[in-house]
Amino acid sequence: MRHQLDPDPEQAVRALLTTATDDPPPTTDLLRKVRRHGRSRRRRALVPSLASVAVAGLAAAVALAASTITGAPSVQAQVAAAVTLTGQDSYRVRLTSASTKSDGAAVTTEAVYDPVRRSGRLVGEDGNEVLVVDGVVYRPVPADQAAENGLPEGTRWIASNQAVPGRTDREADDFSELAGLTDEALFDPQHALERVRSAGGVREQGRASGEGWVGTRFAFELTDRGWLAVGTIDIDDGGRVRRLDVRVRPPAGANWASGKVVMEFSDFGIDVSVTAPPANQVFRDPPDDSEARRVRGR
Amino acid sequence: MAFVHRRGAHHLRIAVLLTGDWHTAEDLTQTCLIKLYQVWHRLDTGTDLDRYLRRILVNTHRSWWRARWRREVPIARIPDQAYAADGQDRHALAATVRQALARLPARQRAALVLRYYADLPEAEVADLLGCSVGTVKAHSHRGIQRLRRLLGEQLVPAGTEAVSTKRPLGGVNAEERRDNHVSRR
Repeated sequence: MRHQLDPDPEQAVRALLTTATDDPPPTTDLLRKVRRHGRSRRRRALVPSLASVAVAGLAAAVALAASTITGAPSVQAQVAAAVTLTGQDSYRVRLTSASTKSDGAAVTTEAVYDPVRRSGRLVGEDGNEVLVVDGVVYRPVPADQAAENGLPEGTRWIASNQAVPGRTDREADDFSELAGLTDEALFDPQHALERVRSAGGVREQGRASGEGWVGTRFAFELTDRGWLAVGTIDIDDGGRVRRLDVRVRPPAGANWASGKVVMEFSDFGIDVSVTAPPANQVFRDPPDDSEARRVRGR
Repeated sequence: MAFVHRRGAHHLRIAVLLTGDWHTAEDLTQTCLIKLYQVWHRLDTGTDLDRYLRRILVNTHRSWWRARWRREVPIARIPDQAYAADGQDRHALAATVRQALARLPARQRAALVLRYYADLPEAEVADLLGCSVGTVKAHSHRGIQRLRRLLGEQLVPAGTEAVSTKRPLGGVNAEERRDNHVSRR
């Protein structure tokens, strides 16, 4: 379709903004949360809160147990051992992710990471550098955005805990830890890798190779609360993970994006020297729980 | 709720311009509708629901900014060349414009969306953003300049947007133009 150009910049912007809303998803349900909110209010009125917590905890435990399907011991053990070995040394990881949320556009990030110290440095395609120091993620904030969003003067970084799901995500009934796999792979690659330990249906697929290594490819599946993650993991003949390729699919009909993550590991033992930014330049993001309570008005 | 069926799509479109993607926009709109639902019994019949929900949208989106900042993946670079509109898929253009909008500072983005998509008077935009009319003009001006740098002069031509405060031709706003267009099909 031809885009009609307008010589008047304001009219052109009006036309562009209209165009930018021209591709809504085929189905939307704007009242979904309102209905869920109504149901949960009724449930809260009927069930004592402590009992609710206990039931929720039990349900989560059952769901977790159900999500873990034991594969053949030998291949399962090989994969688990590789995850352990990979987590004992620093590495370089190249991460490529794509999501239907971002219209499928792939994003590539390079990082060096030390899983023992939970520290590293990653650089996005746009040159932005994010630091991870002792499990705390420091993201740079442009000065103008810091100022206009009311952050203290001099703020250049926002600090938050590694791979904590967002408030709105965790509130969802159909939330699964698998939903955050992309973020997790980015800021805490070892934790993302650890998830494969609990994978089911692990099976050997044949030989695999990459630059400077040869090894074996295994296929696996992870399930949780209707979510499905299928993927492959390549383990070199030295017993280290070299490549992880995972596709995550939400439950049918759920209002979540599908995603794909590929992690490629190399340069084991690489020097990872990273220090936290000066404290007076850091704004500590408040814990999600407090924000959730505030928003809910509790 | 008849209001949601009647006006939900409009607010969802504003939300996608503020957030940059439909998934988050739907999430934001749903969250704001819960807030509206919670105060529904306190609203009188004369309440301008559009205006009320718009305020919730803007404020909630602002409060999400910090939480979402840490979750945003560094985004891919927008092509330096102006977008070649001829023959390109309209969906691709929509995504490109949203991506460019997402690279604007939040205030500039909000000013552009409220001023040029929702077609609100500058005074109302200023009230929503908690700033002066002059600041709205400055945000709008800089926002257009930045969009021009991101998308190229082919899509955002150079002009006199710095001082212009005119309404769209014939007083028809963006959504009305869309509706007219759709109804003609």
